[in-house]
Amino acid sequence: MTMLYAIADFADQGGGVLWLLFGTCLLLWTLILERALFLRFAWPSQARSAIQQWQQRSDRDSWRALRIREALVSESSMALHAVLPLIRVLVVLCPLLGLLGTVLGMIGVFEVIATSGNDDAQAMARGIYRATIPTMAGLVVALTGIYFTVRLGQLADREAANLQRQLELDGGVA
Amino acid sequence: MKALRTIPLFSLTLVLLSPLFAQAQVDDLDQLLQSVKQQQQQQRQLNRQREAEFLADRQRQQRLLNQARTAFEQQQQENQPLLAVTEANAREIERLEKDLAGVVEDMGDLSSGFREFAGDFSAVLQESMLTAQLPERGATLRALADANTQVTIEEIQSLWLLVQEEMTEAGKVTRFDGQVIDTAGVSKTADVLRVGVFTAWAGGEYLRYVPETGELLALSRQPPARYRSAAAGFGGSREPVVLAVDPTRGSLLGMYTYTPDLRERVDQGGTIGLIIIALGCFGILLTLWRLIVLFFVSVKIKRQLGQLDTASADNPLGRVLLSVSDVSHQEEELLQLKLDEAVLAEMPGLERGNGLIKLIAAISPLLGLLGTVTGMILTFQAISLFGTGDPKLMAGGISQALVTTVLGLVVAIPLLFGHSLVAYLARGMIQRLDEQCAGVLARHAERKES
Repeated sequence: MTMLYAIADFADQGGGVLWLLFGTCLLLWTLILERALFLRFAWPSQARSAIQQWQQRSDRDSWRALRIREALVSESSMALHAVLPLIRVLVVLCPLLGLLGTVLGMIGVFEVIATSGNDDAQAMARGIYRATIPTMAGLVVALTGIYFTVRLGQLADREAANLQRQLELDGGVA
Repeated sequence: MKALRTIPLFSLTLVLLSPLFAQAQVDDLDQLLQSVKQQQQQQRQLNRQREAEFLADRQRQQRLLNQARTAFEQQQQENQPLLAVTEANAREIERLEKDLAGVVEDMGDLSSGFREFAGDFSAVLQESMLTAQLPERGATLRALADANTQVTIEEIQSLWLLVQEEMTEAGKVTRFDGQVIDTAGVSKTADVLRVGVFTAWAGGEYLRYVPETGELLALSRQPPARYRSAAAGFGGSREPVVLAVDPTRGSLLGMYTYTPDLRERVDQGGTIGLIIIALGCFGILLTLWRLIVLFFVSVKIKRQLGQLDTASADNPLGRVLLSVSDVSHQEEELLQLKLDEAVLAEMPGLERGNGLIKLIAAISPLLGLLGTVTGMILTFQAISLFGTGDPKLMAGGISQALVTTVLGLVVAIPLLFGHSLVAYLARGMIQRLDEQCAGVLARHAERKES
C-alpha cells in the first residue's frame, strides 16, 4: 500500500502524463520480458523442431529445398524479431512523453504568472520543479529500456544466424 | 359785605399776637431776663436729660454690641469644625470629580475601542460566506459600529453573540435555503450546502461568495466532475463523504475560472495549432484505416494459407499464387522471377499511407516548433512595446508557444507509435510474401506429389 501511495504521490506531483508514462513503461517491460522468456524457453524447442524438420528431408539441395529452407529461416527470424520494433519505438516515445509532461507543466507555470503576476518566485520554482519530473521519468524509463532493445536485437540476429548455419545443405552451399 | 370779611381777619391777627401781648404784658427787662434764665434753665435741664438719655442709650448699645460680639464669637467657635468638614468635603468632591473624569475617559476608550472592533468585524463578516445565510447580521453590526453614544452592556453582549455565532457556524457543515445566482445570471432560491465558511455547493455545483453583494454565485467554470459528485450526493447517507474544500475561502476556486478550458487552450494555439490538430486528426484516421485494412489482409492471408489449391484474388498471397499458377514447377528460374515480380507488385498496396503517417509524425513537432517561434516573436513584440512590467501581456505569446509545442507532441507521439505498428504489420506481411511464398509453394507441391 505504501508503495502504491508513493507512486500515486509521484504521479500527482508530475501530472497526468506520468500515468501515461507509467503505462508505457509497463508495456515496454512486458514486451522486454516476453522477448527474454521467449529466447530462454520457447525458442530452443522451436529451433530444434526447425532443424529436425530440415534433417528429415531427403532432398536438401534442390530449388524447392532451398526455398523451404529459406522459408524456415524466415519464419524463425520473424519469430525472433517479433515486437522488437515496438520495443524500440516505445523507448523512443518515453523521452517525448516526458517532454510533453514538461511542456504541460510549463503551461501551468505560465498560467500562475498570468493570473498572479511573477512576484511569487517560490510558486514558480515549485511549478518548474514539478514540470521537470516527467522529463526525468521519461529519461529514466528510456535509459533502462535502451540496453535491452539493443541486446535483444543482437541476440535475435545471432540466433537467426545460428539456425541458418545449422540447416546444412547437402551440396555444402550455404 | 366788607365788614363781614374784616371780622375773621381781625380775629386771626389777634390770635397771633397773643404771646406778644403776654410779653407785652411783661414789658419789663427783668422779667425778660428772668424768663430767659428760666428758659435757659429749662433748656439746660432738657439737654441734661437728653444727654443722660443719650448716655443710657449708648450704654445699652454697648451692651448689645458686647452681646453680639460674644454671640458672634460663640458662633465662630461653633463654625470652626464645620468649616473643616466643608473643606474636607470640597477636597473629596475634587477627588471624586477626578475619578469621574478618569472613568469617563476609560469609558470613552472602551466605547471607541468597541466601535472600532465592531467596524473591523463588520468588514470580516461581510467577507464571510455566512452572510449569505444570515444576511440580517450585517445591519445589526453596522448599527453597532456607527452609533456615537457610549456603549451599553446590551450592545457589547450582542457583538459578543455575533462573534461567537460566526465562530461556531464557521465550524459547521450546514444545509440552508439561500439565494443563488446561476451562470445565466438568474437569482433563485436553492438548497445550499455549506462547509464552514470555506466552500458552498448548490445542486452539486460549486458556489462563489461575492462579498460586495453578499450573494452566492455559481462558478461559471466548475471543477472536474469527480469533485462535484460528492457534494451532489452529500447528506443522503450517513456514510463519510470526501469533499474537496477550498481553504482559501474561494480564491482558489476563483482562479479556476481564470484557467482556460480545452477549447480556449486550443484557441491559444492559433492558426498553427489548428493546422497541427487537423494534421493530427488526418494522421490518426489514416493510421486507423491502415490498421483495419492490414488486419483484414492478414486474416485473409491466413485463410489462403489453409486452402492453397484455390487461390483467390482478394488477398496478396492469393494474387501471388495466381500469378505463378500457369508456370510449371520445373521452370524454376521463371517461377522465381514471377514470384519476385508479384511480391514487388503487392508491396505498395501493403505499405500505402505508411510514409504519410511517418511524415505527419515528423512534421507535427516541427509545426509545434514553428508555433513556438511565432509565439516567442509575439512575446518579444509585446516586451518591446510595453516592457517587462506586466507579465500578463507576455503570457499570451508564451502560451501560444507552449500550446503549439504540446499539440505537436500530442500529435506526434501516437502517430509515431501508430506508424511503428502499421510498419511492423506491413513489413511482416511483405517479409512473409517475399521470403516464404516460394517455400509455401514448394511445400505444397511436395505434399501434392507425395
